[in-house]
Amino acid sequence: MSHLAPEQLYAAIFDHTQLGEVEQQHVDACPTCRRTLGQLEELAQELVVARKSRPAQAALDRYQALFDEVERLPSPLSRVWQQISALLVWDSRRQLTLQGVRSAAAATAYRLLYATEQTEVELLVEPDDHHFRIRGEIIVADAPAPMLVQWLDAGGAIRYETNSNAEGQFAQHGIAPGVYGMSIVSASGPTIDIERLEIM
Amino acid sequence: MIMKEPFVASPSQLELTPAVLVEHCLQGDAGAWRLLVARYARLVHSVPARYGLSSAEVEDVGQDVFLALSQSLHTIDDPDRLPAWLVTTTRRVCWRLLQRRTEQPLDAEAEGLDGHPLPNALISPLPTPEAALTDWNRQALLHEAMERLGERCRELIALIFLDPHEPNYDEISARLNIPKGSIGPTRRRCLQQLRAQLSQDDFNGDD
Repeated sequence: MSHLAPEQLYAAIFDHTQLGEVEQQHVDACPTCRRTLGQLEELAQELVVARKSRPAQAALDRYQALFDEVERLPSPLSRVWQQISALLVWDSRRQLTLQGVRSAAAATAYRLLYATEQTEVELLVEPDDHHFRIRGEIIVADAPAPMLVQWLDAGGAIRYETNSNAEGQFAQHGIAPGVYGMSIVSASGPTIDIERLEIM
Repeated sequence: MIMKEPFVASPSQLELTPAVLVEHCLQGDAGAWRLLVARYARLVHSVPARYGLSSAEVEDVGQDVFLALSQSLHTIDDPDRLPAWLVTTTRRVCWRLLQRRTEQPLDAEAEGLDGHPLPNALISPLPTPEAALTDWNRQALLHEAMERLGERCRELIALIFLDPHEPNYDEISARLNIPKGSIGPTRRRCLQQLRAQLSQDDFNGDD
């Protein structure tokens, strides 16, 4: 049997037409037809997303009206997207250096502690097969809750992402050496930013 | 405030880089903001839409993202990476919305500082960041490919697949003034043309 006709393949995906027994047996045995069906399925899914993503004119009007909110300079006013910078207050590598430990700069595990007025973020950075593993804990004054933890590249794109548990603990494996921004997002409340986190 | 001469969106201005748009917005050009919103609203919506949020929630996410953008424009270090900033921010807004909606911790494998498994770690309800960027790019490629179709095909595909009212074939026949019986075969030909355009862009990654 030659390949299924395009009409059959398109109807199977876009009209949800059931393939006959013979046609289905052919598809099961034919990588080319399976591949085409897979690509059509992907296209159909993207078209569904495109329809659901299409902004209504009323929504566009609302977004465009936000031009009035554009801040040209930093503002002390309340912002929807509050961010607070956490500062490094303790680095175990620094302590080892002060104690004269020569291997302090080598790739060994180390602890970092960052703090804001309300929150502390403790990180344990461990070498992990040419990469690093970070385990951490977010300690907040009020009731802890799950948080979203992101490591960003210099352009603000997410490189790694994980969630903390309800106790504020999290872990991320396979982090490449480098310099990252780190953000901790809560369901409500400000985002905590560690602006420069050197992993090496 | 001195306002800059507003943008009038023309095809050449659609090629303006994100950095230029951001710069004009910061200089008080409302036209640049309109162009920026028009360019990125669909892509911002595609993130929550892909993960099953309702239409109202999708618009709530869009509102929060563009409000955050309006308040953060002057802080974006590399405005040409605006799409990455938008993906990051949209994911955060989606996560917050989903978090508030569920508030139900799930099990996942993770370790605390003491090395023991975390009992209540959350599995992210969102896909990986790489997948989000890939998804974002696929939507952009789809819409660029649509723009390259002939007018007739573009209209037909938009009506069949993109119109939120999902018109039936009778309505499509009336609106495009084509026989109802020809809609199916024409749709297939147009989809084939769309696939041909997308294959030039490596839409499926394996063509």
